[in-house]
Amino acid sequence: MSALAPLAAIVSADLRREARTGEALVPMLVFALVVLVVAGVAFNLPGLDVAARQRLLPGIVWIAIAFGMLVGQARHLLADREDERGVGLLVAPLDRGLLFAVKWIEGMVLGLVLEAVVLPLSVVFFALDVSHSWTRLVLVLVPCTAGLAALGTLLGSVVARLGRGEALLAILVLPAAVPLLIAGVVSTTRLLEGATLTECAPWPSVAVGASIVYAALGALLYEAVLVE
Amino acid sequence: MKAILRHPATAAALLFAGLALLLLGALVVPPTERTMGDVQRIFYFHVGAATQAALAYVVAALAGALYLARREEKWDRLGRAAVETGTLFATIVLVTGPIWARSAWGTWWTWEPRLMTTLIVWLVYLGALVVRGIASDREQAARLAAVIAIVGVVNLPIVYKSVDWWRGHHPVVLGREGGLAPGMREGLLLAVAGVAMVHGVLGALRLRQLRARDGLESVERALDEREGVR
Repeated sequence: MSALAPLAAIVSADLRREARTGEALVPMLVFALVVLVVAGVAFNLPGLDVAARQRLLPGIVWIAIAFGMLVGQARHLLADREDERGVGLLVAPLDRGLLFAVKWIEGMVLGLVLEAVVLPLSVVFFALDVSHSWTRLVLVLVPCTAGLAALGTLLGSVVARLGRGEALLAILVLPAAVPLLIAGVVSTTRLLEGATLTECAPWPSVAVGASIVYAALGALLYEAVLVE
Repeated sequence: MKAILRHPATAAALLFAGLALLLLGALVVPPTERTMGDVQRIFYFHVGAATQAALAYVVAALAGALYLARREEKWDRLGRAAVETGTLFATIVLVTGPIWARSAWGTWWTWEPRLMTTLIVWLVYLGALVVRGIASDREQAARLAAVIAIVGVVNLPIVYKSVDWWRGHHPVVLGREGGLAPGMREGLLLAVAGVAMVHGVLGALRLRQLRARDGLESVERALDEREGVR
């Protein structure tokens, strides 16, 4: 319990600061909202029937989530570097795996908040009924978000070390995140069609497996990224 | 391997022997496929390159892990050479695949899971090369590229299983019984051996080049330090 106390303290302090300033959350929410609106215009949503909108929704939602999380994590890491909070964490007598866990949990919380806004909005924009599948959707969203946050944390730190911005983060994270994105898109599509989680196999398991692997790799490799 | 490094003539001979094996396995040993005709022979180049790309990426991840654990430059050199040869062979896979697909499926590209996941792995390792290019120093480049090589290898099982998981229509010839006609299996084995030989020679030559560059840089550093003392 004592080992987790610093983790809880840092996460809580960082999230309180985020709630106060919105430095990562605001750009990621605005970016995701812009993706939804542009997709709505580009795909001429009013002219599509329910089945077509149902086929389009998962792809658009996952693009909004993935890019929104990238924007948020890039901002989050940049803020760490700008006000030297990152340096403070680096010199703190903390295990690097624990430090990864801090950033991973923060990324995950930001991602889940983003999804809590993007999903209801996209359901409204796309005029779809997800009342029969929303609990199952959450069960798919959580592992995919955890995996995206793990990759974003690890590779975001690589980008921060190189002193580069969102473009390199997208180049590194998005290809590696494809198993999670495929799992998310395919599962969401099938769930919207009324399938159960078992009928979505193997994709929910791929999402959980990939997330566990990426989180474990993050905890193991974080020190190698941070060391100067 | 040391002999290859020392004598360019041996390297050239092994390279040509590998190419000869590949051509023998692709053009001489297997019969002409009934439906596609001679175009099908690109399959031997394609599968041969795919096996070597996968092997190179696994080697890159292992070398990356060993570099991070031991911080010995030889593992960084191996990882770098493996990512480069892996990307070369993956590029060959991505070029020969559409040529085959044009004849077999009537289209150059389709978002078939095996094709898509292969392209994604290629992009991941291209990212490792980009990181090496923009890192501020050798040590940082080695460290960060090692991390990406390890993260990227997670995608390889997904490439392998994608056809089953996503009900793709990419042919599966490795790991399944009865996939190839007599003569084709022998041809494929020869082609894979040939490409492996070419891979071995190219990898060894690149390692030699990287080692020579490291040696030259350490001499330059020593000379700079001596100049500094004076």
